Amino acid sequence: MAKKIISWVVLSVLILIFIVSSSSSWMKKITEQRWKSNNKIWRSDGFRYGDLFYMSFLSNYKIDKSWNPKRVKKDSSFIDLYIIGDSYLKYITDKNIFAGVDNLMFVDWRYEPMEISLRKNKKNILIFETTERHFRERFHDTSNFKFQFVAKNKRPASLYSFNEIIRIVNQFLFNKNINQNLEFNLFDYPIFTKIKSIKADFNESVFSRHSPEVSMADDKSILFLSTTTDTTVTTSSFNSVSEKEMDQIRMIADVVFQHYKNFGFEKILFSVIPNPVSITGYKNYTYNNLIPLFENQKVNFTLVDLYNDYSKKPVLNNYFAGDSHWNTNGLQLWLDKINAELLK
Amino acid sequence: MLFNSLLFIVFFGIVTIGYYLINPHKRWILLLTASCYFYMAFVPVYILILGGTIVIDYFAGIYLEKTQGIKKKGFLIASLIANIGVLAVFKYYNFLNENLSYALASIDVSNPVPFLSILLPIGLSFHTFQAMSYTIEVYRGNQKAEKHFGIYALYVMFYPQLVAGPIERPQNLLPQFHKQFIYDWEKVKSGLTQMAWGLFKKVVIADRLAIVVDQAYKNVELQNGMSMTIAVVLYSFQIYCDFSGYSDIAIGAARVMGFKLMDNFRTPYFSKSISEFWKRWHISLSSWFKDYLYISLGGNRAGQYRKYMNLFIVFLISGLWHGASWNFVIWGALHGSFIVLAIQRDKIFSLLNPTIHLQKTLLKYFNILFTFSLVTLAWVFFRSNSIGTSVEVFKKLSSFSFDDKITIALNSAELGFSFLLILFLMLKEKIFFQFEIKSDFTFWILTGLMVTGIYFFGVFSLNQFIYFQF
Repeated sequence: MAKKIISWVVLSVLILIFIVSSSSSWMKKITEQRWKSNNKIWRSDGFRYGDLFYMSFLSNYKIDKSWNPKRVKKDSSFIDLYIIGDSYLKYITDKNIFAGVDNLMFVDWRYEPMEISLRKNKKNILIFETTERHFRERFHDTSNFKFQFVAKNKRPASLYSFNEIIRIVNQFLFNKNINQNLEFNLFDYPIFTKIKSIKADFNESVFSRHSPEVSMADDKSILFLSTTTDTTVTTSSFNSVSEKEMDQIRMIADVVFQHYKNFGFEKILFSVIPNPVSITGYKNYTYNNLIPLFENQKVNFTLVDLYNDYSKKPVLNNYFAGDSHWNTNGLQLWLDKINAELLK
Repeated sequence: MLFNSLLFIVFFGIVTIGYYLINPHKRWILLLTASCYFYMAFVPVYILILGGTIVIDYFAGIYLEKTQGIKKKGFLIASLIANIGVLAVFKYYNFLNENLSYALASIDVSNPVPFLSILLPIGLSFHTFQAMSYTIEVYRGNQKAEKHFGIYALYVMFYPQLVAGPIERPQNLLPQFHKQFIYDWEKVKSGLTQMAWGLFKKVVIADRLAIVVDQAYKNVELQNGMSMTIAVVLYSFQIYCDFSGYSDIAIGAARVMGFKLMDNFRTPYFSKSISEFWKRWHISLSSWFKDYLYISLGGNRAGQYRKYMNLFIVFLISGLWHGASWNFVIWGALHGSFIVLAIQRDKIFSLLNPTIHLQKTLLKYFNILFTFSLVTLAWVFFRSNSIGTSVEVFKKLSSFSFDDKITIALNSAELGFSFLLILFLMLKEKIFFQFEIKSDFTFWILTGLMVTGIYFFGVFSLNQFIYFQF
């Protein structure tokens, strides 16, 4: 009898884990909760110690990932600031670090568009922030360009057509991320982080092998995302950019600029955040010069350049060793430049 | 769904516990649903193709049993056409069309036949052959037609062996679905240990060796004779650990639920001849070809030369079964030639009749090494993407060059570790072939060690099993 009860309990737990891991919306909620949590048993270390550490678990690259940008003194708040950005800014949405900003709206490139209506009594400014590794794919095709801020009531109502229902059912039953989700639900707890690090350190020190998701700098001082070093993909800093492609990017940039200008924005800033590996170089690969090439184009945006400033200092001055993002210094440098533009 | 994924572990837990908890009469429903989900986790829509052939073969089986004479033959042919037709469309259509294009291009004519942009349904050759073995056995009167549609569907779709075998015979598997297995801890222990060993072979050995092999075959021009030789030899062990690892997991998963699937491997690299190799490698396929093709062609009943011809044809088709490319045809032809030549060689050797023990022992080890070398060289065609690559590999092998830089993807420590693993594998498979673990203590220690080994030394890249593509 006891065996039977235990079997039912185990079965129920497994089914529950399976159902939760299959649901994208539940996983999103659980992930956010566990990333924010400080509970030593329940929390996920995914965000805490750096995304590259989380991919590799190499203890030398375990960092304390946090940003402490300076708050600005505000005499007046006359700007409504809209940002289309990515993970570089997703977790830094304190309006007080931006000069003169009364209202801050942030939308991620990857998520659903946000409906907005501009306030006429404010100066409406839009910032495009994109990491270098996703720049080319985001500005690849005008017809597929994601206009992330849309006018209120302009978004087409979602219709539950037969195909849509099939898609939703498929997405649940055969969730493409289910293995990552199961890993997160079963093995992403502080107790396992230590074990994972032992394994990773052993493999690195004895076999010189680490997770294929990360690449190590020649001097081993910093990790990079492998997608930024793999020369065969467009996310790489070493995948060459043709003149034709650069023309295409400029053309799309013009269309996008005009779209948002017509929308009512007074000023539109554009900033490409360099891949750390673009600053350091890697092996004997040649940098594709994506950022300098783009910034030399005649575009209507107000460009906020970081590449030249970052290149003047050692990479760890502006980036984390175990995270693919900027550190507080890197962020502050960007903020100083943005704030100067906001106040112009 | 890959056996080396977390999803499979959870899936296996749910299905197995559920299997023992529900009413034994309803188990087929759970197993069939689970098998459908398992298959649909790859490409959901392909379940329709599989479902279609199941319906055809189910009714074919019933009518084959009811009818006689020409009508009976007609039902068999219809069933075979349906099965081979699916294979032909999905696996061979584009290959044939490509060759037609080449042929027409040589006389400056463009090919008007369109190419199909379709993906090969996973494990198609496996479940098609299993379905064919059912209708052939019913036709031959060796198997009664299965009246229960759900059980028949389960015979084709039973998830442990659905996508990469072992290719079962109806006489072995169908009666087991009618049995009501009771929970047996000994079988569970044995099954779990075999699964753990299979997973060890896949993620610790095969996927580690794959790092060297993949890099070498991807950049043949960067290899020297030494590094290419290492990669070619390691591929023999990679494919063995990959495929036999899959079979171990399949057989073990079935055994946990009480089922007994047929053995698929018996230490093939200890074979003393190619014919022995084929009795120990992918046994379920080689015996399928023997039972249903070789014998149907006349076997050895129509004279010596006809026997050689039949053997050669069987291996040629076996090559094509593996994949629609000339590489596989050459691989099959090579094995066919080896078999025929080995028969001649055995005749000569039998005249030598070594009497001294030392001579016998030396001859035995020479034969093992010689057979392994032939198999390993033939694998070059199996692994290469094109005949051109195979030729390049052979050029590198024959150069015997040790100059330039050696570009092996693993460092020397890991390469050494890989060879140790191979040694361990060979010893384990030779000495402890079966998993008969009597004491619970041994079971927990052994399984614990294997799981720890898998975790710490496993290469987790979600590499597909090589034989999934067939």
